[in-house]
Formats: sequence, C-alpha cells, structure tokens
Amino acid sequence: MTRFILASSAVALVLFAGTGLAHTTVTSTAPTNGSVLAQSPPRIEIRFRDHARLTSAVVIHAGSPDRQLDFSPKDLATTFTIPNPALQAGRNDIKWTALSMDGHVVTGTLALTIKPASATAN
Amino acid sequence: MLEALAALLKAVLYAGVLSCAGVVFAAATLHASADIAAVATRVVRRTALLTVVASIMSALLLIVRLGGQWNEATLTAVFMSGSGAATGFQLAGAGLLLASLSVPTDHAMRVSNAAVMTLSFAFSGHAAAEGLFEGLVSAIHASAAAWWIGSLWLLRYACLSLKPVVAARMVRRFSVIATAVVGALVLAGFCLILILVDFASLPSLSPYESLLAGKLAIVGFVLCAAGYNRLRLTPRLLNGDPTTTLALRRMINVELALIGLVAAATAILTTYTSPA
Repeated sequence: MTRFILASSAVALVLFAGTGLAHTTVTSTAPTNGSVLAQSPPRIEIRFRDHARLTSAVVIHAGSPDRQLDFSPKDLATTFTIPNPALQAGRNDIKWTALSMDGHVVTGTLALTIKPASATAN
Repeated sequence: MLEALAALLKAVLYAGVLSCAGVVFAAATLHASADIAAVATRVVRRTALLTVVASIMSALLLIVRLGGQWNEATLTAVFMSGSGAATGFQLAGAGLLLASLSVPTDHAMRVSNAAVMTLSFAFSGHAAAEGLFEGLVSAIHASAAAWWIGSLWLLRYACLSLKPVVAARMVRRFSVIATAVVGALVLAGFCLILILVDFASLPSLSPYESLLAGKLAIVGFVLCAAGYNRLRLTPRLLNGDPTTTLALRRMINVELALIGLVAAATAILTTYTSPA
C-alpha cells in the first residue's frame, strides 16, 4: 500500500512537471512584447496583476553572452522598472523571474527587436 | 524538473513538520507511557532533522528557481517574505525541539516548540497570501492534522509492542480527543475552501479546483478508514478482544499511507496551481 502511494505520488509529480497554472501574471509591459524599435528604449516596465518580487531579469541576444539587467524596486511591488537596458540591434529576449505573494515562482519572456542602425538611417 | 523537485521537497517537508509536531502534541495529550514517550522522542529527533534538511533544501532550491543569483533581490524574496518567515518558524521549532530532547523538559515547553513549527503555515501559501486571519486558519488546519498523524504513529507502535489493555487505554483516550480535533480539522479545511475557491465559476473547474477535488476524494477515504477504526475496531479492542490490535495496526498503516497521499496531493496543488 505504502509503495503504491509513493509510486502514485512520483507519477503525479512527473505528470505535473513544467505546468505552472494560474499564478499571478504580467498585465502589461512597456514597450509591449514583440515591439520593433528604432533604438534601445530608455527603460522597460513590467507590470504584474498582484504584488510580486522581481528577482532576475536577463537579456539574451544571439551572439552575445547573457547579461543581467538591473531593476527597481528590489522589494514587493506591482510595477518594476529596468533602466537603460542597452539592447543591441536584433532580437533581444528579456527573461524575467519573480516570486508571487503566495510563494509561487513566476517566469516570462519579453521579446524586443531593435532595428539595425543602417535600417534606422534609411 | 525543478518544479517537480520543489513539490517533492514540499511533500517531504510536510511529512517532517506534521509528524514531528504531531508526535509532540499526541505524546502530551494521550497520557503516553514511558515506552511510548521513548518512541516519541525517537520519532521527534528523526522528523525534526528531516524538517531541518528539507526546509534548508527548499530555501536553496527556491534561490535556484528564482534565477540562482545571490543578490539583494533574490535573498530578500527568499528570506524576507512569507516563505522566509515560514522557513524561520520551521527551523526554530525543529531546533528548539532537538535541543529540548537532551534535557528534561515538560510537555508544555515541547508543545509550544511544536506549535512554532505548525505556525509556519500561517505565513506561506495561498491562504497566508490572503491575510493573517486566513493564514491562522491554515495553521489551525495543519496543527489538527499534525495531532492526528502524530497520534497514529504512537498508536501504531502501541498496537505493535504494548499489551492490548495498554493499547486499548490509549485508543480510548485518542477516540475522545479525536472527535474534537478531527472536527476542527474538517471545519478549518471547509473555511479554507470557502476562502480560496471561486464558487461563481462553478460548475466549470479550474486546474486548482480539479486537483482540490481529487485531494478531497482521498480525504474522504481517510475519513472512511478512521470511521471504520472508530466504529468497528475500537469497540472490539475496548471489549478485550486481543486479536484486534493486529487489525487496528493494519488499518492505521492504511490511514497513514492515505494521509501521505493527501500530503503529496497538497504539495502538488500548492506548487503547480493557484486558486485564482
């Protein structure tokens, strides 16, 4: 009986792996996800539905090493600002991680594309 | 995969906290004999250590899940939050209980240390995120569950190793207290459902509500097993039937296994889903 229950629990854990459901979520970002911009924005804002704690924001750009972005506040808030993200030309994926009030880890990605300098000049 | 590991650690943590605190609560209320007190001490030592290890590993895993940075934002999120408060209460309660095992300590002191452990449920989780009152209801729910689990561990030993007449005395005492404690457990659980479930969206069920329904189904089996013990086996034991201790021990094993499944279901419920 005990073995059966342990086995059932293990199967349930594996079945649910990777399916985060209905935690607090991002309501909006500025710039919006998928934006194509002429230059790197002066700041990025991430707004959550409920209070959360942003713990990590990393910009991923093909051909460059991943770069940690600074943000504020470092405490509980609904809106977080990333000042001067200095995004490079091309696609930039900003992967963020936060802890919601109920203890859930929430993650997301904001994709921003910066036009090459020559395209902007044209 | 990290989420699955987090859920597994949470299930182990539930087992550690509820068994450790529960055995202390049970030993204090069931008029335990010297034999039972010695068993209780052994179980408390093991489960307190399990709690310490699982609690620290859960905090470290949370740091990894939050991006793995040892920076101000991550450490503040892990340790200066409800999760951090819960970790602090678990470690403080387990540490105090471990320290109390090596010196003569009265039940009141150990019970208060154990209560520190179950109070951790008031600071972390879905109910705690709603407010202090809701968190306290969750802590009452966990404390009642702990007493039940701890009592089953001690009764299991009593049925295995003690004379039937001594086991019967413990079972009688358990039956009297269980009526109130299990009632409080069910009432607190019902309050938590009222607090967390969005009844306006019924009959369609969210993933949280579907999993909760599954957990409640297992709870139904646990209550059926407890009812069978109470209404069939306990009277036979109290009437002096010595063969009943074996049957009762088997049913206690079933009850403990089902409660383990409830703990695993709760760990999955609280790791993967949210009420709204």
